[in-house]
Amino acid sequence: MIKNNRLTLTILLGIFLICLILSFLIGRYPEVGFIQLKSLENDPIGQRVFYSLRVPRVILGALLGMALGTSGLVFQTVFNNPLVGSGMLGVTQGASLGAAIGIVFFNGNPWIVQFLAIGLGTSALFLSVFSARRIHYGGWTLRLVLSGSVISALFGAGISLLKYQADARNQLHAIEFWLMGGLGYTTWRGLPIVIVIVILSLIYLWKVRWRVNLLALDHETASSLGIQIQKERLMALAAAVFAVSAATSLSGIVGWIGLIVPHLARRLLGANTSDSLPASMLIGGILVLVCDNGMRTLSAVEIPLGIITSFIGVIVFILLMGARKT
Amino acid sequence: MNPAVISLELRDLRFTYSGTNAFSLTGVNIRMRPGQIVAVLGPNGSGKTTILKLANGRLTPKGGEILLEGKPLHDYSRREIGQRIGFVPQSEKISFDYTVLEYVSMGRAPWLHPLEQPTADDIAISKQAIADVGMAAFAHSLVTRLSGGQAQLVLLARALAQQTSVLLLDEASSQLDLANKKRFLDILSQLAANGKTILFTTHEPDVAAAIAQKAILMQNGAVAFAGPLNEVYTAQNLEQVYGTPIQLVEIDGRKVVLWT
Repeated sequence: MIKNNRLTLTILLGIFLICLILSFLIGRYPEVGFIQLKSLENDPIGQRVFYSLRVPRVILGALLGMALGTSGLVFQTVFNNPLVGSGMLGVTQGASLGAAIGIVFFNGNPWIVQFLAIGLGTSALFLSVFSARRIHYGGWTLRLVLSGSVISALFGAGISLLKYQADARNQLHAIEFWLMGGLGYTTWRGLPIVIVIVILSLIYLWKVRWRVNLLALDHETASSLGIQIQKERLMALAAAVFAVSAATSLSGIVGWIGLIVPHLARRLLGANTSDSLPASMLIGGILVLVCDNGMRTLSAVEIPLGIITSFIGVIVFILLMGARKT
Repeated sequence: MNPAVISLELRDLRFTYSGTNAFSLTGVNIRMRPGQIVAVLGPNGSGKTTILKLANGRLTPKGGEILLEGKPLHDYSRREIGQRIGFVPQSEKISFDYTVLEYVSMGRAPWLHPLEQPTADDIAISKQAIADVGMAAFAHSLVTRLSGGQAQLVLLARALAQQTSVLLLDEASSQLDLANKKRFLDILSQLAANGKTILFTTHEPDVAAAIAQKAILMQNGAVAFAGPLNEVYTAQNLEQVYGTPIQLVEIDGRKVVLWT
């Protein structure tokens, strides 16, 4: 079992690295297909396309997928609930509202957009959990999902208000792009800090990957196992929210990855987060890179990534839910 | 093991849940030596579980103190308590398909640094704990597929893997069939014989009578009777605490409770 898992993880790592390398090479410049790195030497436009557009886009895509997959697993484990994803706890809508505020009131300054996206994403998570504690209906799973959708609706209303207020020529477009989610406008602008936040958060979560198991236990038993459960849950959630909000502040909402990737990882490697956490990281990265490569290569008119992941996510989710408990 | 040593002592404990006056715990005194088994009995809501929560530091007493190996409990870190006191709940809801071995390995947590993974030693200890509760054949089964009784054995195994000197059990044998209940109680007796201190709550007086040396009868948050099992276990005492007619029958030197 353990040996097989190591093999599976190695294969996933291999696939991820191949996807990463191919992502740098594949595209529509100078024509559909692979770029010849040698030909770039005498091609200033090619260099610009490659270094200013494609490299940052692939980096963001990989980080976004890894962040979404890993955080999804952390959310599901901490809430002992395989149905939650960052989208279902209000984090996505919160981060979106933050970004919209940054776009409308702060001229889209990437630092401010990131700061607000992380801040409001985190607030939304805590609001969801806080109000779930106050719902006196159903079990914890249902309460979380209910309260998450209520909080999402609240932040969604805020977004609508901002859209209504926004200048239709620039701001509205920027907000819409954000809500649809995609990597099409990625440049180096704002990217370095996102790289740092996402990588630090992921390193932390990777380091505590076995410990994450314990966060699913009852408060009572977890603390009898010598864990300062509230503190450790908070740290894991904070790392997860930081990673997702940071990547999302540049890409916009890319839904469903955080929900289905952990299911796929557990299906492949079992529940133990020692293995399923690194697997979620890799599968998330692979999924986003493959979807994005497809979107930007296959058609000249680019469909935003968030739309494709939603289509794929919903179908996979229904298949996975149907296949459970058989 | 020096019998003069007190491993766990609850001294004059008082406790109330904040925001409610509906329940309070008063004047709880329990002294336990290594190798002793103490049973806490009483009707629902009499404060049994609260005592266990106080004893493992989950709740902080409003008065009195708790001594672990002679030192106040609040002088220990959460992790140090985890290395000394194990806890077996009645049940635990887990939504993910862990194998029994993965689940029991979580008992090794207090011995591992937060960034560490269980080592081969930890896995070996966990496997032994699973074998000790007679679940070796299920080591790679999924915990989500176990029956209630099997799950209780697994929860005991996790606490065994924790290798603590004190074990607290909260109605931990409530769902076991006869054979497994006997196995469960034999394991507890064996652990006590090896020096472990065991404090458990139960709704079944017969379970307590089978293994405990001391018994504490709780009533409305206070200790109604406490002492050696033989002295505490009288039909009169049990009738008073449970408020229902009770007959005690002794069969082969063991007290059996009959309710009519």
